[in-house]
Amino acid sequence: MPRRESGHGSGRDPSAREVFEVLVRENADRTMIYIRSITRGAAEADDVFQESMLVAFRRLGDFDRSRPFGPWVRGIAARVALARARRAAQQPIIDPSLLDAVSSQMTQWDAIDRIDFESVLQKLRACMDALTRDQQECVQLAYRQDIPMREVAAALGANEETIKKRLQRARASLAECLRAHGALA
Amino acid sequence: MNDQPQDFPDAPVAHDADDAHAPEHALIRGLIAHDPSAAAHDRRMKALHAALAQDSVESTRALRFSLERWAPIALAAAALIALALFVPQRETSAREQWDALARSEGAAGSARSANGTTMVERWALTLFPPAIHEDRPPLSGTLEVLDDTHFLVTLTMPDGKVVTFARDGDTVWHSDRTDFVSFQIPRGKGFPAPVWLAQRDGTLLVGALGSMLERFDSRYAIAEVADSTQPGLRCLEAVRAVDGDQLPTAARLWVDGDDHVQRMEVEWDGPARGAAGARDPRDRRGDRAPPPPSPAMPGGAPGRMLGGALGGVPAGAPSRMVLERAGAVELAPGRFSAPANARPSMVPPPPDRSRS
Repeated sequence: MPRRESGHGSGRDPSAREVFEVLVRENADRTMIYIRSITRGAAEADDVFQESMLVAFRRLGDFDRSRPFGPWVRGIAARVALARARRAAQQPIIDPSLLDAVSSQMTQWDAIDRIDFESVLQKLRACMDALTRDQQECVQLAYRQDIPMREVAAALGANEETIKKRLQRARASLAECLRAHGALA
Repeated sequence: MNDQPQDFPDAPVAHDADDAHAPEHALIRGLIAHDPSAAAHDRRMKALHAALAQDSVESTRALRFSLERWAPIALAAAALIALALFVPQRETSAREQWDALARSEGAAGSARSANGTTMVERWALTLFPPAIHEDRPPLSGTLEVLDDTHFLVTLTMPDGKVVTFARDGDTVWHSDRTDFVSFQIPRGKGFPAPVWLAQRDGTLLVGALGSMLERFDSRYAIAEVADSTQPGLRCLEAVRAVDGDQLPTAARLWVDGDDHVQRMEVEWDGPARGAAGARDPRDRRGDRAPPPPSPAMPGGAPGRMLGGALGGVPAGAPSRMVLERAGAVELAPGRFSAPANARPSMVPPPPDRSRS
């Protein structure tokens, strides 16, 4: 049985790695939000994040330092997510144009730093508090806890179509609320 | 893992391209689903740090990445992060690592509390059918576990019905595919200790991860093995080295840089196959024999999760069980409790009309 060698990869410039980690750390939250937007479930999102960051590190020489890091790494994440979806033969496949559109939506937050981005999340929490109780339950179970739709429906004693409608209305309400608070363009 | 489109119908799939609001709604979904906690952030960064450290692919393009052009503040931050994330060389043996994980995960199972909120570990669970029925689809579901005596398993049967199996202290209950809910009180000390084991009679027992890991004792040879299927995670493998038809043949753990088990696979096979290295661990299908007959479990089975009466699934132990960590959820009051309509298990269930 082959043993995996422990320790650091030989020859890698440690400074490049450290700076890369700084960039990732600064952008990790927003990158994960993007990945959660385009994937199904937390485990899948974590896998896409890790794989994307490894790809990004290997391609670091291609990164144009005059441009922001966020969109570049989101482009890599989109390709990784698509490739994984194809490998898993998920039907229907994720729509590539939609991935770009979501990434474009995120550019509004690229210019703000990690600390300021926390205020966006605080506004989201305030907006969620304004949802109806039914919507809050759906959002909590389906999005926060990653519970499959049919289980959410069973847990709340409603059919799946009702749950989908509630989630759709919740998302629309949240978008409107975030816009009113200046957190969404 | 539950990742079928119908389970997450608002995921960004092809038809959403016609919806002008789809990108914004996808983004809102990502905002909500994202875990912004510092713990999640640190876990992710440490896993990445470990993955980068072991990435042996030399990239000359990465070397062109000139540190000199970055602002001094980035250098200072890099130094701080390097200090914070410094991981010492792993010198402990695989056995020591396994035992340490058993201790740490065992402690974690009952101590997930922050700000007065108790958190419950959540795992995505996949059970693969017995070898003699390996053409059948795997069953997927979830496991929520607080400790050895508080957990809840849901499994989606091939017909879409969801069955539940749970333990709340001394009470074990389950709901079958007819929505009939029954419970039983374990017979004192005769009740088998709950561990993550699938018995040969088709009964699945679950519990805290630490308890499960403790079962892979000196009867197993443990080694750290090369595995690239889970980037950023190291893999430990326990292979059964003694005879024991009821024992799992092998188990594999994928562990992150923070020493948290992120994924676990347990296999049941034919007779003991010897020590580590006797067989390629990826060859999971080649030499499996039909499961042998098994004596009834002492104390009564708490739930025949794979029994035909519960879901049209062939009886018998799964050939493989996969658990993937899916985060933690806040413990809701009564989460593990039997529903009010639960009946003693001696009361026969109502007729299953769907089978007539």
